[in-house]
Amino acid sequence: MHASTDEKILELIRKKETKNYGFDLLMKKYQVRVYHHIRRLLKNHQDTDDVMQDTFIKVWDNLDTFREDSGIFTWIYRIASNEALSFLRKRKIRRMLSLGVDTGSKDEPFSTQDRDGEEIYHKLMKAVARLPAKQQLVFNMKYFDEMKYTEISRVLGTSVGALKASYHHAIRKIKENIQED
Amino acid sequence: MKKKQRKHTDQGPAPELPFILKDKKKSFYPVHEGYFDDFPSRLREKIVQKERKSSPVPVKIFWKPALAGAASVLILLALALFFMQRNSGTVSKPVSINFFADHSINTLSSAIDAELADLTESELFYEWLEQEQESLKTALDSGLNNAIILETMLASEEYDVELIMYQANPNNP
Repeated sequence: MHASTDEKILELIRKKETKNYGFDLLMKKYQVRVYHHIRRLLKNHQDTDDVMQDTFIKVWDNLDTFREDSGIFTWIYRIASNEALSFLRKRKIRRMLSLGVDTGSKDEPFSTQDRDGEEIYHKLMKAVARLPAKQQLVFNMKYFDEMKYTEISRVLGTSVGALKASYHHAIRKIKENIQED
Repeated sequence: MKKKQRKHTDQGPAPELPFILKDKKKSFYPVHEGYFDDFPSRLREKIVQKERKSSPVPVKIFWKPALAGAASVLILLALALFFMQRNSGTVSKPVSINFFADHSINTLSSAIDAELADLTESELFYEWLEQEQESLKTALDSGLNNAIILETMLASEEYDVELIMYQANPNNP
């Protein structure tokens, strides 16, 4: 079922009688990638689940307005990225209001159990978590999702040059953070 | 000197981390079993609930908000009209006391005109005659008074008859 092409899924979505089925296929095809894309940024599962729901509800609400000048996955990724960034901003404001200062990330760390015994994952995820949100997004998409700069550019609406600069800065900071650790 | 434009491509030398992850999939956070199986149906349920909430409600319970809405619209329209008139300078001045005074005088005057219109010519004549009689009576009373004074003066014999006659003549100063 997951092997359905985006074109096939979009064809199903365009027909009223198969719209729900097409949307289910779309969710099943991309939910894992979208989930981890969001979770790498938000860290904890509960927040990720909330943003996942908001993302796919937005996808559903705007399916009719989706212009096929970009791929459906790029479009979903863009919605997910914006939702996650917006969630982070709100969370930061909430923390500042309740504590008077931003105490930084209080998210679930990548626990010993989670990192599957490999210390390097733990170190890397900690270092990535210390990057600014936008840099984290760029790093995650380039490094983990192995997306091309042109694809990331379509998702984030940022120029390829700016993305390259962001990625270089991210790598440099990660190196520093790992060495300090 | 013209600045040389940098060309960005995906083939540029990618910076490297001091290590290479053996399996990037391991960077995936653990998710409890069944989460991805449940997610689509959970989301569909949420969408159905959301759409049910935003769909039109039955007429029975709809009239109250509709009534409130209509009232609000009417109030807004009235306010908008008021401000439009005010801005265009066509709104009436506040009603003053003078307005009422003028209004009552005009009403009274119209009522008198109406009454006079109802009078016949003979009635008008009698009206005039009555007024004239009143004037005549006043004149007679005055003359009578003069005669009494004259009589009293003559009876007292204190005055010269010629002088009295002179004083009694109204043409004399």
